Amino acid sequence: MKTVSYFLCLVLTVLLCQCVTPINPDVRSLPPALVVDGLVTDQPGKNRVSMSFTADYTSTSLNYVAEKATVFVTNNTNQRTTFSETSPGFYQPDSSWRGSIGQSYTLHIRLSDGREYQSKPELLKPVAPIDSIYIEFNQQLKLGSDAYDKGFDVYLDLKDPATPDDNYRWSWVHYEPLVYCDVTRVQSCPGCAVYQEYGLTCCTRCWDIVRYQNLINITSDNAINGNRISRRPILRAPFNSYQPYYVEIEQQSLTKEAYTYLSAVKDMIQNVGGLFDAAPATLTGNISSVSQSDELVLGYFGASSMIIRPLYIDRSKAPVEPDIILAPPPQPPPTTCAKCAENLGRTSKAPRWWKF
Amino acid sequence: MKFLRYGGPFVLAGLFFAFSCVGVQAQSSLSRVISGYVRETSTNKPISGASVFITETRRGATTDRDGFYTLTVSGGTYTLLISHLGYLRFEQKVTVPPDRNLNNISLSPDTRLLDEVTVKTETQDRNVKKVEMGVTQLSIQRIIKMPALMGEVDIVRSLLLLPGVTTVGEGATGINVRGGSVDQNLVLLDDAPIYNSSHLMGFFSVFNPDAVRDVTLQKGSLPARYGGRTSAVLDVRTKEPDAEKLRLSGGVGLISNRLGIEGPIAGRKLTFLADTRLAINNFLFKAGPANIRDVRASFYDVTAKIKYLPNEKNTVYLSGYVSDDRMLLPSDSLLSVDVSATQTGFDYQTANGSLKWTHTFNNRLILNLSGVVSRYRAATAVPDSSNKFRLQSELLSKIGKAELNYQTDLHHWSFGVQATHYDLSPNTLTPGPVSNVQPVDLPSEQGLEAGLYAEDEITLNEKTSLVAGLRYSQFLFLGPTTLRTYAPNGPRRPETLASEETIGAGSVAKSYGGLEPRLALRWALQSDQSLKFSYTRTRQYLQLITNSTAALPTSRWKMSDNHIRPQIADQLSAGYFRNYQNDTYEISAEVYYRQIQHAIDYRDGAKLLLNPTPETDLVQGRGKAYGVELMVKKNKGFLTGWVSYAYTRTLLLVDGLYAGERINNGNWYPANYDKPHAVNALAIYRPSLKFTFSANYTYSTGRPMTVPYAKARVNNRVTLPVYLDRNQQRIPDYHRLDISMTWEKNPARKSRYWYSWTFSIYNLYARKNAYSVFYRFSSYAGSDANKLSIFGSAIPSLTYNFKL
Repeated sequence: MKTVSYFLCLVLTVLLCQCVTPINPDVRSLPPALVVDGLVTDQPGKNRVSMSFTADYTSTSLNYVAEKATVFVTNNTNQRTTFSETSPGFYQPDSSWRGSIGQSYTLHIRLSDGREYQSKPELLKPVAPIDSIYIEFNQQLKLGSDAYDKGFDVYLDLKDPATPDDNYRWSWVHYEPLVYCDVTRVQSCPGCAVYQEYGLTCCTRCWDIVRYQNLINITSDNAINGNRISRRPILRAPFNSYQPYYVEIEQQSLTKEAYTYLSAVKDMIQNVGGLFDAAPATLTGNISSVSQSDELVLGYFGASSMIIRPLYIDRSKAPVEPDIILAPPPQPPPTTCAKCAENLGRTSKAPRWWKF
Repeated sequence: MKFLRYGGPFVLAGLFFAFSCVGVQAQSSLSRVISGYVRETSTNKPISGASVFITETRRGATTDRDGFYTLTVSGGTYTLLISHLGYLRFEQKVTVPPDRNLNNISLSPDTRLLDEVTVKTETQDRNVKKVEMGVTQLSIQRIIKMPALMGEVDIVRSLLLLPGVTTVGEGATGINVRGGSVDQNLVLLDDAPIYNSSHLMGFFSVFNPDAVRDVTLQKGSLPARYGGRTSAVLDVRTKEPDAEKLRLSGGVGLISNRLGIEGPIAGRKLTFLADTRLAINNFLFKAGPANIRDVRASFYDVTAKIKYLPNEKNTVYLSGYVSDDRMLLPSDSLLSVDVSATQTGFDYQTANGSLKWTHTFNNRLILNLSGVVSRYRAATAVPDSSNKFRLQSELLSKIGKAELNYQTDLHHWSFGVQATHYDLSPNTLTPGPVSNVQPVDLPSEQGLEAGLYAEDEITLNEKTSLVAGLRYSQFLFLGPTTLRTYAPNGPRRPETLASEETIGAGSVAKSYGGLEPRLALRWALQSDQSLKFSYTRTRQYLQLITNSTAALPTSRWKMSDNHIRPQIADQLSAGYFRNYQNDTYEISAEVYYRQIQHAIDYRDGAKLLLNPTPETDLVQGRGKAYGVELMVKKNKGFLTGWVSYAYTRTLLLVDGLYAGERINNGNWYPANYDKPHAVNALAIYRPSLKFTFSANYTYSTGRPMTVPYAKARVNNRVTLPVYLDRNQQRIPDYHRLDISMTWEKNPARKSRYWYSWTFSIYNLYARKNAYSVFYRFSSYAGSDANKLSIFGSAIPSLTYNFKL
């Protein structure tokens, strides 16, 4: 949110506007509290629960993950689905399992030290279909330079059903095909400190997975109930190659409670300290301790219906030249290949709608 | 010659008074009256606060707002000494009987050096002699001399140099007086309420300095004629139009350009003034850095007044005020409506009109009648066709007032009745012709606030005087409306709505009311020192509700209803006042304690815009504000100014039955505007008629902020701060030094054209004062607490002013 930077300079444009400076206020601390982030959808492979503990605000280390917990969800008929730990602190059900529309799901957690937590039941609501997705090329001058920020803006339209309280969330996953899976550094001359980098080609096909996770793109139908949601910005694909850009766009339904929670999170992320920004507030999720009701537990367990639409952005017809990213030269023979690591950010499995 | 001019009316008036006042005079047959108006010779403007002193009896009086004074004496010959700062002293021999009921006096302005330096409208010993307490009057002459931000003389900003007056940040709307919120101040411009006193969000005030005569800030003992706000009254009076000839004045500055005209329409009886201000700053934005190149902002205001003076007994004023602000910001930056937008428009307007009639029955009895219509309208708009809409709110108030003033030797009675009708449209969302946005029209709210009061200023003896007043106020929340009831054993939330009852138009949906006693007592220890005490109770039925630190001009107003109870404040204050060396120096020390019932705040995560049930996001609790204000002031000489210190606290307690209705876990917490320590200093040095140098320094504790206890990662990558309480830490302290230099044409040189140049530097030592501190996790920055400063450098400006 750029509000404040406009206000800062509102009157005094001629003068300096470098007004944001880091400071170091007093440190406060809190015993680690459980943070839960869970989602059940009606798509296989899109169900997950991640758990961690809070860290001191000034601590630069990552959050402590909650490992070796017992995690399961139950539905209306008390049918239990176990989530098992696939990587530290990250729990997933069987990859074929999916939720179904109309069911309410409740998350149950037992930590390795025996503490138990439970979420409120969350209804998996249907979501309206995506009407159209369209792409527009756009370039803007980068601030303080004469270079352009070139990219393809992707927008989405949909028709909101006449029922009130339909809430939406959008995200996307981009798969970037890789040529090099690693680089190797070779001394340019024996004994000297100058190195030459060479790219190591992947042994198998490999993709980098780029997820939309830093921002929260949500809306409610409060203002437009029953009409079209039009020109909803979804993403901006960079123009750094003529290759097509593969992205899977995900549209989710949200319950009213999940929407309220996520908009509070969004306010907090976007708070840039303006006097007109919403004041910081305690976030209340839907998870609580079974035995100690006053224990602080953060996070939300949500249930969403999800629509996934693949999109190829044809980047060959833009009116300008792309900003090519220079890659290191390939390794001179004898060549070796690098293995495609299998993790959250990289995969050797072709994405579902990949067609090249 | 003056005597001759008024000789005729004087005799007639004297005869009339002799008959009409028989009843009153008979009781004290020995006492005689000397009364009349004190005016400026050339312009015939009334001089308020002038001192009229009888040398023989060592007694005196001060002229009121209309320049009127009354003295009671026994028969004999007296020497009247009439004086006022900035005017030549005037001596007059008067013999009574007969009564001198219209003994009018004209004072000539003193153009000599010393008095020019100390021009002000109040008498020097006002602080010691008057019963009132916590009252500050600033004349426009003094305000003009203070250093101004970007050359814009600003009335509200200059008040920030007074002890007990603070703001949450540069660019925030309004002021906080003695730990009160912005909406707890009653702001009046010629009797008409101003609901938003800021231009350009909050950088400048809406009062055109060219049109203003003086500003009175009442923060201690409130007279019974003021009601409806719990903290303070800011009463801005426009000047009297020039009766002699047509005059043109104006100025050219970095921000705004001013043009004013005043003068007679038909002789001295009908005069007018009109002052306009226009700011079109788009060229500044275009020249600015790229990120603000698309900002557009402009404002204008017009202050106009017509004065009709058919005779000595009647005065009619017709005043009008219009102000308009427009802004266009790129992106959906200010939007709280769920649509995406490329631009957001933002505008707000005030339109006020008032008619006032003052009738003097005789020297003891004066009637004031006035009617006011005031409209405040604010809107947010998106121009994109498919999502085009305009979200507007409007507050229309109609006020009728009648006041009768009756003065005898030892008593000054005032009686009055006031009625205000409010018509509030909280939010109306109007879509464009091809827009997808659904129209929303939150039901309007109607209310009637009535006040009835009586007050007497009693002089018990030479040493003691008191003002005792009683006000009864009643608020009626009127239909048509829907009264909602929530489940009794649960929090007040939309999901616990139990039933709805429809109330028809004109019927009373909810009523509140009660007595508001006002008391002020002065005890003179010696002629130049006094002790004062006061007690004031006030009730507030209309408030601004917001969930941000500072209120936006588009923030929502809310009347008291069946859920939101009116705020009630009781303030006790005491003070010691002393003057030294013929009023050259004055010192004052005041303490106060205020207790607020039903103080209002928002729940964590509240959304108030477009909320059909705002009561579900609001909570009420208790508040207390207390503090000490110390001030040393120098009134005379080449160097004038003051140094003040204030200790001001405001604490709130919201401890509801349910978790969401508790703030800070049900413990006391400082309000957003709680800034304990403040030091202000102002110096104005005028070594010659042509040159003035002024400087001011201000220091205050940083306002409270909420600090995270920990961080949590959600959604795999988003790092969130964890907040558990509210306002428990503070942003860095604020301090700033400003200077200003004015060169003006030597007023001793006779010529029609007068001009001046003012050069000022705001924030001289370029301190990056914190406007706010916010937390945002960024992986590349070492620290994630950030300080935001608005004015990070010294800001010079140059202004040219002229008068024709």
